Amino acid sequence: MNIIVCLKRVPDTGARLEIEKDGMELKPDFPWILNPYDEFAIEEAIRIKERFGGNVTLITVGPEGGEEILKRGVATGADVEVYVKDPLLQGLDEINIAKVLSAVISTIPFDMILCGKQGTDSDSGVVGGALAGLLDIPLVSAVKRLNILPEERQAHALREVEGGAEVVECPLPALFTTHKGLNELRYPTLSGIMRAKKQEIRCLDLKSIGIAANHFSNRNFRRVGLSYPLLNRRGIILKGDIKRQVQEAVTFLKDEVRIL
Amino acid sequence: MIWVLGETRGDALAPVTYEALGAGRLLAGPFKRGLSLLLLGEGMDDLSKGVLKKADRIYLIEHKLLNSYTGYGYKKVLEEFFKDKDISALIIPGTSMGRDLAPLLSVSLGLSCLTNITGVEVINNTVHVKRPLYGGKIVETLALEGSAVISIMPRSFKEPEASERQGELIRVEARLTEEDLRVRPIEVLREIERREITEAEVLVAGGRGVGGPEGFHILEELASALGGLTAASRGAVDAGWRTHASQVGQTGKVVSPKLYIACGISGAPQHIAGMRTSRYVIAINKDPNAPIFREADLGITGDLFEVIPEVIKEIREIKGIQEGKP
Repeated sequence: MNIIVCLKRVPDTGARLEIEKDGMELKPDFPWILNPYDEFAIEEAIRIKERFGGNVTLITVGPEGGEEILKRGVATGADVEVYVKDPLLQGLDEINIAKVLSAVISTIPFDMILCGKQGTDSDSGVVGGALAGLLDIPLVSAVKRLNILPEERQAHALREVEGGAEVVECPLPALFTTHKGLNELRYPTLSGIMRAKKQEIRCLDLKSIGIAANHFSNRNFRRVGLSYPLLNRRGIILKGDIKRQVQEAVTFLKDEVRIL
Repeated sequence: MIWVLGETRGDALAPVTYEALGAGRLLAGPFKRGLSLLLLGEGMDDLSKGVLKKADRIYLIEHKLLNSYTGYGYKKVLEEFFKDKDISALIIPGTSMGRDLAPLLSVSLGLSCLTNITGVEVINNTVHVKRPLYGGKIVETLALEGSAVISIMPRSFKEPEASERQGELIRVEARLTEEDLRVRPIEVLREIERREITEAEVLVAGGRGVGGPEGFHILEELASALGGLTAASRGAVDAGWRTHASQVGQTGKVVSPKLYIACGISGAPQHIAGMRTSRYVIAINKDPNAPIFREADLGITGDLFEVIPEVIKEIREIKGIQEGKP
């Protein structure tokens, strides 16, 4: 099984984020991490490789900072690192990011592609699905269980749906987006970390994969501003006798929330 | 034309279908366009009766292979359907179906893709849409400058008012084969007890302070007294007490219920991000300095195992009186 895993770096989910004075960008003083959903993708790829052989190729695209997340993936057992690094990728929308990925991936033979189900930055969850559409391969999104049948060249996957789950079947090659719960993550080993340090990243830019800026489709939206969610909380904190507190809370449910 | 893709839940239209129609109405005004609803699958006639006055046109796109959702099946049929039609916006419910379909459709229709939209507003003839970023820590406002596939967050839009006029019902026969589906559903596992937390009006959420899986019984009792569901923080899910399907927060779900009761949840930023859009918040916590109190309309300081039984008792008393029982 040759598996491609697409990675993205995102602001640390534990970080407090602040908006610049101009209201358009975030203040850049937060730590970056590998997108948490991508970790499940790397882990699943390595498990499949350990079981059936093959190799795991990690790909990330972006203007900067991709090296660290690629190295982390290699330290846990991935084989090849590809980095499309280009200043033109700054602020590019998801559909065009998928176009870049599809241009790189169409030069690499693969049996399956794994992507995190969404980045915890924009939360939009578009790149994986758009990439499957561009490559015209089956898509199963937000999978929580994945069974590969290499002989039949098929996969069975379980995905969460409202009020339950759905088991689906599809032929390979296919693209799966990974959800929390798919697997338990492993830690990088010392030898893995050493190997990751030594290994060279295959660095590409847009020109080398045959994409010019005018290949990008128009995005029909423009950021007008960032803001904090409106908080109009009453902020009344009760203390003391439990019965009295509860009575006040119930009055609140009756008169304000009006659900009693 | 503004298009809305409907979704069913069991034998009825999912609530988010009405919400998508509400979002569609907000867009139809500024674009000066009509509003059309698309319902895919067989036997939609009865379901369509409830929305006849909510859209200008209702298309019933019928085929037996459309009875359950498949990404490529829906994509193929919609691609064919839209061949000779103009799209200003195509609104899709932000559900497990919509999150799967929106990017596929955007690529095939050549449209931009905007997901998780929670608001629409018109400013100086420009349509502005809002979406949460970073799990809800930040809100982004975007100006819409052309056609797009737009998925909406459940519970973010109001159902539109019924219009005077009845919408026109149009039947379309779809062409589709088994091979077109690419991904074949083989089994649906229904959890009868579990409904979807993003669609609930009341959520009673528990964190590490609940102490263990058994502790959630009392939360379930409170949820059922209020006609709601239970949810959990990442702490409670990572401890293995609850399933990830019920996790609220940045690596879980963003929820917007009418009432959110946080029990034994301290209020880490990634949890707050997921519940901030709740209409009313009550927090119950032993620690008077817990950050969750800053996000609450009302805080109760105390042991949740003392507080919640009291609350349930009071609620039952009130409901008993309403129902005329002693």
